[in-house]
Amino acid sequence: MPDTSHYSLEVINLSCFRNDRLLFSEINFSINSGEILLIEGLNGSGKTTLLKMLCGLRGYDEGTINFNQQNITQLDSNYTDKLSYLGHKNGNKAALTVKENLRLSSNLNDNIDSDFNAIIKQVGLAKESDQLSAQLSAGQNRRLAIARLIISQHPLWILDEPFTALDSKGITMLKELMINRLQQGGLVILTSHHDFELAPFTVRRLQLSKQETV
Amino acid sequence: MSGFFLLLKRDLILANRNRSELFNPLLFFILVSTLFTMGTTASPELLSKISAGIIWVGALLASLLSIDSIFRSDYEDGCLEQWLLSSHSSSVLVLAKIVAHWIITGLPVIIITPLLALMLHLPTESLTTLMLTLLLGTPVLSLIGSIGVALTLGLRKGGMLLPLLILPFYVPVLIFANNAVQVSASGLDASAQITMLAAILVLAITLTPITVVACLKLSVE
Repeated sequence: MPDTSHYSLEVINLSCFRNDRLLFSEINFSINSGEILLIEGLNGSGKTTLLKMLCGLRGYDEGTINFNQQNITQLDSNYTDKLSYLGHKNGNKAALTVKENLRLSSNLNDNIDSDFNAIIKQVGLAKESDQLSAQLSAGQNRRLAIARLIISQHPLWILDEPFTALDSKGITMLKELMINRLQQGGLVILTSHHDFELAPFTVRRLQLSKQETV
Repeated sequence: MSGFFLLLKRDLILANRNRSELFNPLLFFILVSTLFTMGTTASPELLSKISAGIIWVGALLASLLSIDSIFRSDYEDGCLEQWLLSSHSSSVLVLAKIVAHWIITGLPVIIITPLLALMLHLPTESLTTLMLTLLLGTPVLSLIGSIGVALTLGLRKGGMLLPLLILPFYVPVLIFANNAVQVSASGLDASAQITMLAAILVLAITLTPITVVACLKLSVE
């Protein structure tokens, strides 16, 4: 079902220390339905850490993260129900086939009526649908992880270097999926080392090293 | 509850596809028990006295050896983050993982025990008690072990730390189980010890999942 409600994610004065070292401080931004935010920064500037905080997977030292004006720590599963996270690790089980992997993650997200074959075809894994994930290439495993994004149909996408290992066709496909998500009122937050544009949407940028929104 | 059965089924399918995970703890258990008879004088009198202890220590080590894999593969391939963020309660999913671990490693040990008990000259009248203590005790081993694994998951070289961390917590289970078998061998009623083991199991089932989820969230940071 297309989700037409409006969502907002707001980050206020977020700071993070790691091993007694200030990683970033006073991060402020807010992003609404139909907006895309690119988090930029050098290696080790805390991009992944910030994304994990946004997912609620990691605690933070100072600040607040609000989803629809409510603190995400209080929302708990009402928040995780709205978000899909794609990290450095794909989250595919090597000993399960493409189809089994998809079925499992869709069941874990309570979407039982998904058309697996169509989605597998959409990400370009039609020939491999009965192969074990262990036999897939790095790029194909990435495509499988992207199929999970489509299946979950969550409005908020948090993507950590999503273009890694993808070929040019894969990159185009993922960009189209993002546009589609944004047009349906979704929110996308991502990190990427590639120069990244997503016409017709304006990509907002957050520099972590300078610690300010542009 | 559906999330529970989903993850349980997945783990059993994975174990079935990776048979070594299924048979290694069992083979280890059989080997340890056999080594004891070779290492001591194999007199029936001595064996009948220590057989319950041998079987229990064997079961305990088998559980300890296999417990590290419980969250390891999910952690390494990123599935852990995915199911922590799924719409199901994380503690229910953790319980499913633990139950799966027990079915894969604990249950085969219990099934083979009567055979080993025969080999180790366990007094026949205490076999039922031994089986009962294993049935109540081995799930506790999986539960306590999973806390240790969740705590050490983020460490690169957790290897030796894990046994040092969780073995002391296995001691109460071992004491009550062994005492139950000894009491029943001398013809007395062991229901007090059995009840105590059941109480430990209930306590562990209730509190472990919440603790494990907290530890896992620290590990995925």
